[in-house]
Amino acid sequence: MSSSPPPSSAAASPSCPKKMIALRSSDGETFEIEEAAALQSKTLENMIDEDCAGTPIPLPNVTGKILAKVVEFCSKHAEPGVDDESLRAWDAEFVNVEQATVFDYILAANFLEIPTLLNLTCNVVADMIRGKTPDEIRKFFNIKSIFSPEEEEEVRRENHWAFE
Amino acid sequence: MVNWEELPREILELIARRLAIEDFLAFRGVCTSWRSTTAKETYDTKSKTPWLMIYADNQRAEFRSPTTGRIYPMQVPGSHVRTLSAPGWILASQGDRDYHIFNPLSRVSIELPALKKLRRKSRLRVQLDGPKRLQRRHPRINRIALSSGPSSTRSYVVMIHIHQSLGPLGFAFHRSGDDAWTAVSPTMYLRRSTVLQLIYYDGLFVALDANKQIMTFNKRNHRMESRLILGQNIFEGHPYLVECSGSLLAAWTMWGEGYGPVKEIRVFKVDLEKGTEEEVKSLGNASLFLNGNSSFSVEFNAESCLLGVKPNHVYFMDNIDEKKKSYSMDNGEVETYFDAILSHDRFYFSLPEREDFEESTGVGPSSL
Repeated sequence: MSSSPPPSSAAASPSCPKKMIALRSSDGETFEIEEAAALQSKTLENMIDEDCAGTPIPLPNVTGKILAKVVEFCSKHAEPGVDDESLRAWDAEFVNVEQATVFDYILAANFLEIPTLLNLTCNVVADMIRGKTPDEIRKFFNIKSIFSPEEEEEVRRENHWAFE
Repeated sequence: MVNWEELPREILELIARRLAIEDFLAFRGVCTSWRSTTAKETYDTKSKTPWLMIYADNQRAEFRSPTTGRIYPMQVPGSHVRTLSAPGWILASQGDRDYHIFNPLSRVSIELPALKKLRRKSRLRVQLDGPKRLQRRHPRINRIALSSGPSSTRSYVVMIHIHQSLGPLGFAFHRSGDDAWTAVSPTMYLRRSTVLQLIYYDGLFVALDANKQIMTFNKRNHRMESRLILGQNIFEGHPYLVECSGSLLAAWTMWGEGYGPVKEIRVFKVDLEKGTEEEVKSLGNASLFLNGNSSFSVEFNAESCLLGVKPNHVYFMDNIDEKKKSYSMDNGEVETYFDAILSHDRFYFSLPEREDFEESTGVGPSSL
């Protein structure tokens, strides 16, 4: 699929306010998202055509399952008239998911450059790390560490305070 | 398949930025890729809430993390401990001898030369020469400053001000790798006086004495030079020199009538070039932490994670009731920051510098 050159939009205001953008996930599912919501993503902002007809934007890095949720997130955050407190509560529920899903959200937020989602997910991961020793962190995220003997020694020295 | 080890570097950085000191250190110990994103270039030691050094005696110190309340005991090479401005390093000594620069987190310990080892003959050395004179006069380090954190890859200078039982003796310095101190010759017109503060700022060692004189060390002729006299109008306060957002500040904690608890803190920006000072009413998005030997500042920005700390505040210990308090530059309110009364209550920056030391058999740093 050929794409026209990206629009040189300085401000993120929709060209056709109620226009729907079509997105295609890596596994071939198509999703529709309002342009206003799509503009939450800097990546999508750069890809949206200036004219109002568009072929689905392919997103090879995001699966259908995750893209559906991302669309949901962006739509919610583009909704007018939502007060801060309820949005925060909604966000908390949104990330109240399995570890592996948070991982996918982070990667999607990074690829699609959605600052609000990236911020939210990084905070969640930081919360998962808080209060844990390196060993506990490894167990939690199922990381098999392979430090060199020198690094191992350095790590031991730097973290002795947690065990003394 | 989810592999947390393979999170992109920029994301790991975003996560690491949000962690308090102890969680940040744990993060670094998880795996090689997580560790490599926390190299010195990617974090600023002043972006995290400082720990409190709440106890130091019998070769042990305890550090408390204000954000989690957890206390971490660590071994230190000495019973008398003071913080240094090089982040993460302290000065530990056994009585008035055996001075070590020590990093409790990496456990690297560097022995300083004995005070009586002065390289140049000067009035200073003559007074310290001779065992009898030495014993009677009890020389000790009154103030100490480092040009940078100790490192095996670049040289640094340690400057000290020496006191003896009869009063101030003078300044001396030592370059890393030297095995002796070099005395700073006294300057004719500068009256010898107790040095209250000694810091390293903008490439210079800067001292403030009890006559409110600010002097800097001239590297070429090895003498102290007077720059200005501070705080003509301030009579009932204790001064602290501290760098903040690139400027040199003198902060005065002013006690209430009859030596009551601190009522006010006034801050002045010192211009060494012009020899002037100007009162500062706001620290902007920075805050100060005042320690007797070395104070420091923190800045609130996108990279910082300063939980429990507020901008435009001064954090200090009130010597009257020995409580750790905060002073708001906005409205002058004094609040208790940490109210347990413990000995050796000091603010301590515990993120170590990222210079690694190699174990060596010669003169140089060794691990505890």
